Amino acid sequence: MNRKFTEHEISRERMALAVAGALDENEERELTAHLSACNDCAVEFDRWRELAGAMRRLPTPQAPPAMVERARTRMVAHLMARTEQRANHRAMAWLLLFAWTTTLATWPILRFVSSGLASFLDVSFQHTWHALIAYTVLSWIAAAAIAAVLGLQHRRERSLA
Amino acid sequence: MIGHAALAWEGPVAVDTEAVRLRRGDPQALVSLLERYQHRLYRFLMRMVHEPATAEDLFQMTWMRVAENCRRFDPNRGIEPWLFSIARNLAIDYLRRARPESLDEPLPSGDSRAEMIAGKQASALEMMMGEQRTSRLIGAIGELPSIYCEVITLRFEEEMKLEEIAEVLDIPLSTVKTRLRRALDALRGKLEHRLPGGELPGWGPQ
Repeated sequence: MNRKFTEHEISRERMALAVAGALDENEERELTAHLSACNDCAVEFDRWRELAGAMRRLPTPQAPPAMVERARTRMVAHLMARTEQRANHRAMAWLLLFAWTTTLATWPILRFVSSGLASFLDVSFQHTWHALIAYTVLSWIAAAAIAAVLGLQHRRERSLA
Repeated sequence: MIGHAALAWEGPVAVDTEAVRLRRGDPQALVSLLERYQHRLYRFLMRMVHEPATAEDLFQMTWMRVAENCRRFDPNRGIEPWLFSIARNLAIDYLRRARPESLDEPLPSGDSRAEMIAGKQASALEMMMGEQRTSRLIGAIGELPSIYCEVITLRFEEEMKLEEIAEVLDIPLSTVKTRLRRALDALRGKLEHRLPGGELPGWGPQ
C-alpha cells in the first residue's frame, strides 16, 4: 500500500517533466507502467499533455518589417565601418613597415652608391650625411602629405554618400 | 547513392561555412541570420518583457551586439544558443534596470531577484492574439516570473533541447529540469486559479 502511494506520488511529480521531454529512459518507463495501471493519473497526464500541446501551438508574434529593416541597416552599416576600420589599420601597419624598411635600407644603399658605384661613375658625394637626412625628411613629408590628401578625399566621399 | 553522399556531406559544411563567415564579419551571413531568426527572437523578447516597444528596442540591441561580437563567435558553440543568450542577457539587464530595488540581493534559492521578477499582465499581447484560450494561456505565461517564463518559452515555443537551454541560461542541466518542473507547476496553478472550479480547460484542438 505504502509502495503504491509512493509510486503514485512520484508519477505525479514526473508528469510535468515528462511532457517537457526531460525524463530519462528509466523514469519514462516507470511512468508509462504506472499510467497503464492508474486511471486517475492517466487522466491527469492527458491534461498535462494538452497543456504542453497548447504551448507548442501558441501563435508567433510577427516581427514588424520596419523594425527588422532598421536592424538590418544598422547592423550592415556597423559591419562595413568595422571592416573599413580594420582595413585602414592594416594599411597603416604595412605603410609603417615599408617606411621603416626604406629608411633603414637607405644607409647601405647610399654607402654603396657613394663608394663603389660613385667612384666607378666618377661622381663624388661630399655631404653623404646631409643627403641622407634630406632624403629621409622629404620622403616622410611626402608620405604625410599623401596620407592627408587621402584622408580629406575619404571624408568628402563619406559626406557625399 | 551519390546524391545521398553529397547531401550528407553538404550539411556540416554549410554550418561550418556560416560560422566561418560569421567570424569573418560577413554582412551577408548576419543578414541571413537575421532573416532566419527575426520572428523567433522577437517572440522570445515579447514573452520576456511583454511590451512591443521594449521588445523592439531589445531586438535592435541584440542584433547590434551580434554584429559587435560576431568575430568572437566560437564555432564549437551552436548559433542558436549564442543568439538567444545575447537576447536573454539584454532582456534581464532591462528588467534589472526597470525595477532596480534590491535586485542584486540573491534569494535563498540562489536565483537573483532580477530573474524572479514577475512579468506584467500581458494585456497588449492578449489583445493581439484574440483567441480566448490562447490569450488566457499567454496571459498566464506572462504572469510567471521571468525565470520560469524564459524556460517555458525556450522549451515549448523554441523547442530547444535541454542542453541548449542550459547554454542559453548559463546554468547546469539539473537546474534546467528543476526550473522546468517548477515553471510548469506554477503555470498550471495560474491557469487553474483563473478558471472557475479550478479545472484546466481542454487545450486540445477544437
